[in-house]
Amino acid sequence: MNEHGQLQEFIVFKSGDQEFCIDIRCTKEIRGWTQSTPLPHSSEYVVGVINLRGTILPIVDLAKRMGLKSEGPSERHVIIVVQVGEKSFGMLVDSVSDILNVGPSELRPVPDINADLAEDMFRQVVVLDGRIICEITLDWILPEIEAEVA
Amino acid sequence: MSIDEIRKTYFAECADLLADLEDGLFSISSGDVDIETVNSIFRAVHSIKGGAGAFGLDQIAEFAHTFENGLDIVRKDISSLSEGRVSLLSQCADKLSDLVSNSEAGRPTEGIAPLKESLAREFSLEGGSGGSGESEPQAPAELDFTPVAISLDDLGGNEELSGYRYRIYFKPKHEMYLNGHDAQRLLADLREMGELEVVCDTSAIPPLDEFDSRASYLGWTLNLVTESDITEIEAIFDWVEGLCDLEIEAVDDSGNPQEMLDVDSFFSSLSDFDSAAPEDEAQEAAPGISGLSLPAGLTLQEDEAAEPDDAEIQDEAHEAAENKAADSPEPAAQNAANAEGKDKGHAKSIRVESGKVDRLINLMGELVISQSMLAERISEAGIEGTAPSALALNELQNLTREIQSSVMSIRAQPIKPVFMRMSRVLRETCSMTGKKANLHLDGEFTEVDTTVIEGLVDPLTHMIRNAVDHGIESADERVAKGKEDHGQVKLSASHGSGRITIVLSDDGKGIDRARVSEKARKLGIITSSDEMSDADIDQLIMAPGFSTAETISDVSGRGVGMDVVRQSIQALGGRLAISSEPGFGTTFTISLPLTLAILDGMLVRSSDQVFVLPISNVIETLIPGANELMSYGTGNRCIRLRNELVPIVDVSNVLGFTSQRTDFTDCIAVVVEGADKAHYALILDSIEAQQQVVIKSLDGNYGQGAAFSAATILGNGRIALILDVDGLIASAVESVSLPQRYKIAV
Repeated sequence: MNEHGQLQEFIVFKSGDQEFCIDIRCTKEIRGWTQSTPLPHSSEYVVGVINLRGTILPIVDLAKRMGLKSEGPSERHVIIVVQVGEKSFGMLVDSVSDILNVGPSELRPVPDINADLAEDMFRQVVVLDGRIICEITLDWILPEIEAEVA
Repeated sequence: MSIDEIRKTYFAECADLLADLEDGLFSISSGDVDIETVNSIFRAVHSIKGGAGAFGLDQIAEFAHTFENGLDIVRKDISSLSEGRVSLLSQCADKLSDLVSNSEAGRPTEGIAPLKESLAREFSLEGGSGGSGESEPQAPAELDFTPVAISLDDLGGNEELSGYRYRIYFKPKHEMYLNGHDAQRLLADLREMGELEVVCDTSAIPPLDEFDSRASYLGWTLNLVTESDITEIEAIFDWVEGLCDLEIEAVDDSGNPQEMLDVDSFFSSLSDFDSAAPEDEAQEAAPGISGLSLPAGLTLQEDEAAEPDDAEIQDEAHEAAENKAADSPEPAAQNAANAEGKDKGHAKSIRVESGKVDRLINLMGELVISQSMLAERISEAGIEGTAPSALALNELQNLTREIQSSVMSIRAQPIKPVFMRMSRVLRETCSMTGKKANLHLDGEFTEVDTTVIEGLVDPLTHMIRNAVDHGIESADERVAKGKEDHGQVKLSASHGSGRITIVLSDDGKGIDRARVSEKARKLGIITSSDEMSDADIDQLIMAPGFSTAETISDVSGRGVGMDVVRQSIQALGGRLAISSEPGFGTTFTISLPLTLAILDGMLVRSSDQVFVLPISNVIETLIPGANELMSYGTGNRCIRLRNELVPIVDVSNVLGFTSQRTDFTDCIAVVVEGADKAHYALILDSIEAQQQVVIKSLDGNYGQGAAFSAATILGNGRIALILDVDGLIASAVESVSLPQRYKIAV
């Protein structure tokens, strides 16, 4: 993505009191919280589904997905609608804070410290003005197809 | 339109033509042999050949040509159609279909030459190609001139013909054709009046290099024997009066005219001629009178009317008129009329891109949602049902329903093409296994949603193969058992109570239950302690990884067969049931929803969530009284419903929202029928409404859940899950200890 030395744009948001970011090109829209319909027998981090102009969109509580403390959905929460390949889903986050223009020199690989989980969870790290923000691997968040037929 | 697009259209048309071909061969092989069917097959092959030639698909064109020649022989003598020939023709049709699909994909096709040879041998075609002129409608010269020599002397001898004799000289002017008249038609009208002799006067035709295709050169001398009088003859020419040179004269019985040539007409033909080739005026005008020097290759007959006795006159009536009166638009129009005649019986149809229809259906879905939103707003506003706005809404609802069913009917297609493909599958499987079987189709005009049709091909193919490979016995075995040597496979489709039922049955050996349960134990699908009823054992063949075939054959027996069949049918929202009678065959019943887009649902509430229950599953609803509830085991209950004990499925518990309900005072029971035909009582909080809902698949962004099949959007914009009754029951069996035997059934 950054091999041509171009600036890359990231959208920064807060979840579970930490800052994360994703590539802005994966973001379709940001919307306020609306009441969702819970899916029976879904993973804990799947809040439910909402109606996005006729499309049924699953919502993932990002904090819960990453094992952080979640305050649960409330009026103050925000949904970032993202698209990964053919699929799209919504990420429930605390708030959206920033859009960053990042050059190749400010991107670092994920430090090899915290075993496999961090490697799967994060793509790379943005180091900018003393802030350290992890870019989330969207493929990892995507709820698995949970068709465990009884 | 680029050439690629036209090519695409050609292949799309080929698909239709191949379906016609398959269709025709099927009715022939089921003993329904008539010339029209043979003709329709012939036309299909011919059209494929024509298009293939145009696109340079030589392989298709050549094969179709040989095929066509074979068919032509059948067409000429329909009684020559033996069973062997039908089977050969079927093979050719299959090969042609392969050729077409391979050509489309740009792949080569094997095994054409042997089939061509068999065709040539069977129908004694010369060298496998060539063929008679009639099977070559593309050939330029279809002008079947059969020169008939008629001596006018004979006319005199034809005394039995009573009536008057007339000699008519008729020479159309260019204007007559411009006005849309047709000389041929006039001649035909005259012919109806009596005996007509037509002599074409071609003397005015110039050498080929001066020929003007729009000019009028021909004239006719007509000898008519009729009972009508001259005014009736004149009446025929009423419309072309002034547009032609016309002379009608009565002649005596000997056929001799009192006068001969009409000089005026000759001069006017000259003037026509002049306008066509003015620069050669002088040169050509003279021979026009005195006798033409004929260009080579054109057989012209000068009208030697002065000496009819010597004249051997060619009767070139129709073809001549059609082909030489070049400015007449008639031939083309007539061909079109013929083509239309061939096609009548087929409903008029247009080709629409399926994406457009899908869009229409999506919009229809949105409309249904908006309408229910509107209905909700109206009731929120406290408007009474009899108020004008509520009545108008009612009207709108009726209209929407009607539009919806019309839109759905666009997608609905007869299931026939799938069934036709199955006849090929059966044929191929038979030839692979060396067994003999016939396919009987029933209800092939049953209309099914296109998506369902597409999704049915694979499971049905598997099932047909299984039926032949595992079900039908070999011919010897069948004879030994006292059955006919040909196995019978029946495939039928029918509509009923909002669903489509497809039944596939064979009269083979049925399911060998001892072997099935032994195999299942070996594979660890069941444990030896499991008590299994016959029906349960039959269900085992649909268990994943199950196959009793001792050796893995080409045809079936990889052990994925029935499991995949069951899954693909479930994916279509359908159910699959098996029943088998050892020694007498097996019957598979597939039950499918009519449409995949909209369903009539009952909105129910459970643990504060609204769910949709498909109405087609619901049998009755009731409020359970305390004395109707009975317990069995630990905490399991059932409802006594008349004389039946119906197990309870606590929906909210099964969905994982609440723990098992103990208080049944404020709830409602909806009795539903499961896939195994048994009844279950779903316990819910309340019933909210009944409405049509648009089915939105969850598959795109999220997997399908066990207890719900899809979702819908309600009038308030919220999403409601559509409960899958069978899945719900299955989950209940898992989580609560409902009787074990349902575990495999679902």
